[in-house]
Amino acid sequence: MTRLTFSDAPHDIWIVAETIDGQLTPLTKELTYGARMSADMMGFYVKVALLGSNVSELAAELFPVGADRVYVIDDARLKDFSSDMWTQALSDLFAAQSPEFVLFGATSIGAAIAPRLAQRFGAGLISNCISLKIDDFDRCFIGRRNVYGDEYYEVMSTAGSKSHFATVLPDTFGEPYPDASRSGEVENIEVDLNQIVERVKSLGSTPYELPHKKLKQARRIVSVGRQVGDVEVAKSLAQSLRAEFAGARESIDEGYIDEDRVIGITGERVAPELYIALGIRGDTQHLFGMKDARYVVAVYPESDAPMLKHADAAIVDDPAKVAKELMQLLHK
Amino acid sequence: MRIIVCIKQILDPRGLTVNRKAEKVFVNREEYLIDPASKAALEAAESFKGANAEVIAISIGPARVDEALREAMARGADRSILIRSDEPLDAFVVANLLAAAIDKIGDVDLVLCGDRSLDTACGEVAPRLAEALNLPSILNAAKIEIKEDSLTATVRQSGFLNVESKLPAVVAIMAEAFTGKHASAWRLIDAYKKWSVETWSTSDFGLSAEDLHPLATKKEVAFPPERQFGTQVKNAKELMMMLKRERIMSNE
Repeated sequence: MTRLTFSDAPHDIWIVAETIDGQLTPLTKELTYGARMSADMMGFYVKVALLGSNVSELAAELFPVGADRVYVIDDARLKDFSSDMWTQALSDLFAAQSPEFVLFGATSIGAAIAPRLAQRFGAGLISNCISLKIDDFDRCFIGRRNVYGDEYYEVMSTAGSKSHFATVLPDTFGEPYPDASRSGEVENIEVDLNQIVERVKSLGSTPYELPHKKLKQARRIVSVGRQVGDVEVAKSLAQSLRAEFAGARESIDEGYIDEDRVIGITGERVAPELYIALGIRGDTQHLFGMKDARYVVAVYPESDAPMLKHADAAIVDDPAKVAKELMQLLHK
Repeated sequence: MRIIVCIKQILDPRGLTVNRKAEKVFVNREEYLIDPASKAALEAAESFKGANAEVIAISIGPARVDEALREAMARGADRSILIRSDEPLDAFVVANLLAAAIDKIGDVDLVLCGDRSLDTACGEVAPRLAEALNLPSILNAAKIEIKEDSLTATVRQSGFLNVESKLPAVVAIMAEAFTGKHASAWRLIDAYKKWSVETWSTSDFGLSAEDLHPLATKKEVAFPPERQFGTQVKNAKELMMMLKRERIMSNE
């Protein structure tokens, strides 16, 4: 393992840029802007590693959002993302420049190369940050990441390691506020990629369906829990809404649904347009399975059910009664 | 052919209550389970057993991980190894330990991991392990096929994509690929009564103190603001109006 070495001079925050269809991704600009804010406090420079093919002219777009210097590695072999090529190109660059702090996007590219480079250089890494700052006392990254979906956060620190990496989710730093008067330097870097053979080859796209896709792809779901009252009404509501019928785990015991219709941590995770929860109390286990739903309706007889807090529209009433009324309105 | 499956045991979230107002996570029942993505990896490994594959499950952690490894054997692993450690570890140390154990086992053709665990969802171990072993890594895989000395994997990007790599390789299987197969009842009984989990120690591999020192540590937990009550709706008629206003429902 090669550790990166540092002088005592002020250091810098790096961003690994990503492009899509020949344009910088919005996340790249956001990260550059976020790095600028930290750099101003720490007295650091903001440097960007820009890899790809014919990407040189994009460097100019990085100065207004906060970059001081852009290192361009322009090589036809870097045109499409390839884990081995990108890892090697960045590894050469990092070995020469010893970046102390590096931001990657929490994207499929970041997920593939940040852990590899962190392992190679013995850098502390915080993945999928939803907030991130540089701690000026410990001189490390302090970042938050989600645990069990977004139930709560863990605050992670890279204190004690010599170099610090993070992958960052969109909207962590917010929309960049560009300063058109800012300028910076561009440096073209040559790396030797001749020795590198990409070990994973793409064979092109393929049709594939994940198991249990029916619930996963459903646009509407009517879901029941123990307090539904009359499960048959819920079933016919599902039918008239052309929705899939499902339930919380507890409704297996009641005989309302089978194992393959359970929504929750130990069942399916769904993301429908409309999710109607009838008589579901809403424990953590269930909420995890449906929190990506776009619009949630909850009906529960008692007002203290957690499900009601996770709903866009909440009704405290008898679920079967509401379902019946809703059906009448649908058929009118 | 020898396949290694790296198993992560996680705290069962069904035993947790997150109280955002009190800023506390209450552990009502301290129970552990095999992470769903690790389970998917085990299932993928088990599918090669017809082709005379030897499947070895490895995990790292305290004594309680024994149970996860017994379940792994019930789910098809021929051997299981627990690297005993009571220290808090990060993905850097985990990858170093797994790589050392895999080197010690030797002649490994394929290493399978879960892509992202249910708890922290970092997805760091597979690419780190590939780096430590100097192997290619394939992430986010739903399905794998093996032909002689190469492997084809179906991976999720925006759609699905086939990729190919020579063996040996490290592949991370996503939790969604799990078909929900149960462990065989006979294997389950044997796993608890007949078979045993081999226990290795973190000092078995000659790793340096530096290799065993975590580089990312958890400082504390934090909480998002308490969720607000959704808009209170009186009855079905009001609800219907809201659904139409939100364009969830047209006039049907």
